[in-house]
Amino acid sequence: MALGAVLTQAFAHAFEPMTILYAFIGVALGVTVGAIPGLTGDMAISILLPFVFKVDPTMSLGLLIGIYKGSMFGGSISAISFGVPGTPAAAATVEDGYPLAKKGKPLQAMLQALYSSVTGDFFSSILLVFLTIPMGRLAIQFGPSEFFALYVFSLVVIAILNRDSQIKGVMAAVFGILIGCIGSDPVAGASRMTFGIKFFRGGFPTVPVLVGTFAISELIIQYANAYGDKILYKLGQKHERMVVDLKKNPDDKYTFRHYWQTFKCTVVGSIIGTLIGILPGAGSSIACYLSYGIGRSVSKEGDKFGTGVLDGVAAPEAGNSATCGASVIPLLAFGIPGSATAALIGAALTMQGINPGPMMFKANQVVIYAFFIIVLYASVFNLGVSRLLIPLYARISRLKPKYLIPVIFALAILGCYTTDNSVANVFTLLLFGALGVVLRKFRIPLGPFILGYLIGPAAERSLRQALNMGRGGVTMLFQRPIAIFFYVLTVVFVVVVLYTFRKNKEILDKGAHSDDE
Amino acid sequence: MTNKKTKVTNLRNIYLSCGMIVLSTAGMLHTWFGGGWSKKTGEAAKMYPRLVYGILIAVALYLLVKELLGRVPHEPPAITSVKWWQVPLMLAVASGFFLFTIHVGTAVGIFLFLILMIALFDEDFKAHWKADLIVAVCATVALWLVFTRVLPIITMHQFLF
Repeated sequence: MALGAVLTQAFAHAFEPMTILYAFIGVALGVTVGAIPGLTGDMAISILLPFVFKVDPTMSLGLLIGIYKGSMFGGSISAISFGVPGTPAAAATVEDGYPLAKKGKPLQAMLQALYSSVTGDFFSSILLVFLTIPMGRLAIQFGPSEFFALYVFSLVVIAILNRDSQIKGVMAAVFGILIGCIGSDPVAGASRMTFGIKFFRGGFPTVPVLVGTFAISELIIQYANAYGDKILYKLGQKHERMVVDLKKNPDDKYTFRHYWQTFKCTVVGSIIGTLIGILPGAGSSIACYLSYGIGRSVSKEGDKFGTGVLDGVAAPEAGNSATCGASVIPLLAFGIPGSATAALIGAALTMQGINPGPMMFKANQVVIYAFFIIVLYASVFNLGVSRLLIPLYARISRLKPKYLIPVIFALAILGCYTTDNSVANVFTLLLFGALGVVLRKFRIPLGPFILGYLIGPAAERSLRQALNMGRGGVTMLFQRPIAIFFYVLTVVFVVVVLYTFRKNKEILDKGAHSDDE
Repeated sequence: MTNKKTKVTNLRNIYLSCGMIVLSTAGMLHTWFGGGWSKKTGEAAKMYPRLVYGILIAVALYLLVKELLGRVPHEPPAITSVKWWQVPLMLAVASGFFLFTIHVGTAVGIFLFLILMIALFDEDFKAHWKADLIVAVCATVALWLVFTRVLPIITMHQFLF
């Protein structure tokens, strides 16, 4: 189909009233879940997975990308309001956002977070639009050995970027690959590791695995937190959170001058967030801390970071939001998600019958271009909706978990059951919910685990095809120039990351355990 | 005198690595001697899981040795709010809800689940029971409408909705 015709159809799809409505709802829902501590964009997207395949692909993509973008800013609302990050990605925002709120300038901090967040997000969305197609065209040239080298690179990146413990990152990714091995062998289709259980023959269904690992495990943790609060209440030790009043201080204003003064840190955060987001598995929490650390070194007020300066809000917020668009680039170009949230979006696409990866540019051109348009206008929605509703979101962030958790729990269970009316789905969901808690207890990161689970079968397929082409010899894996490039890149990357981590050790250590509770 | 360098700082990492080694070794042996492989499964299909098990064993051994040598920095306990007994309790409540729902019907099942969970969470259920009941009823109606009317989803329609 000619590009003009594709674009016309893409515009028609993207600007259908229902698609716009879904994107709008997605942004509003994303900011809401981001604002409530304990609820994250990942959780919202995973719970909605069983439902999105019932609607048109562009509409569901509008909803999901809206949630992704909205939740990034939403996390800063509770971080600024009462010092509790709504999402792990907003953990660094607490450092300066909360002191600003205590100084009587919560609205200024929130608006700084919003404008930097939207700037970072828009920057990476533009790159998404312009980089994805050239990268996808390049990926079409790839054979099995190139793809296998790319998977090795991705898995190493996923593991090494775990700021808590690299060895546990590796363990998580490999354990995820192992879970992905259960079922049928991706080349011959023969069943393996089924232990004689019929249900295992098709492997674990993706939706219950994702919803269980991300959402159910988080709900169990939230339940335990609420149970702890209940005991504290009974003992008369309930700690009340500070409540901010957004109308109290007449000096609490934000003007273009503020935006311009913090623009340097916003740009630094946007670049770092985009670079981190484009790497498989890196995620937004590492982007926000690195942006904060590097923002401190470039800011004129670097020595005042931590006391409540706008630069300290601008850098991490631009950084975490810039991962949104960037993390989708490798998903669309190579079929390898850049973050756990991008993996969920990839799962939603697969459920719609669209396989993310280079072939998508031939088979689903209209969907891709419509997605680009939605990604851009969702940023504008994020700006408009959030600017208007900041006072409301500040109130929502104080919603009681006792009402939210049971409703979300019921939604997750029923949603998983109704994907194919399977009782086994529900038990898979609960099994992976329990596994998610166990992994978190042992400090094993969930992102690499899920990415390993999703990438593992594709990596095996490439490896075995390459070995077949080389008649069983491993030399085939190292003969193609692009494959060699990725192996060299892997080594260079490991060295650079370890050096950067060591250099920014102080600030990364501060955030290393920020998403525990 | 205790030598700090050789002291195990994170006991849970020892449990984790030992567990992984046992699991992976059992899995590796299973690829040679176990059942659950179809007759047409060739050696090639077994090679990849063996490779994965091998990497897991190597990684777990590395963590174990590092931990025994005291070279792993102290990690604060994760999610301390969750006690081990709470995990099966939550799963039991969720399974009970689901099994009840598929036999009785979505609406009644959801309502009972919600009110039970809210009561479990509430600091003082006796004081807030009216508000809790209203929330449970409204949420049930909303969920039921979403499932049965808004989305074209087939739910468990039994004798009670």
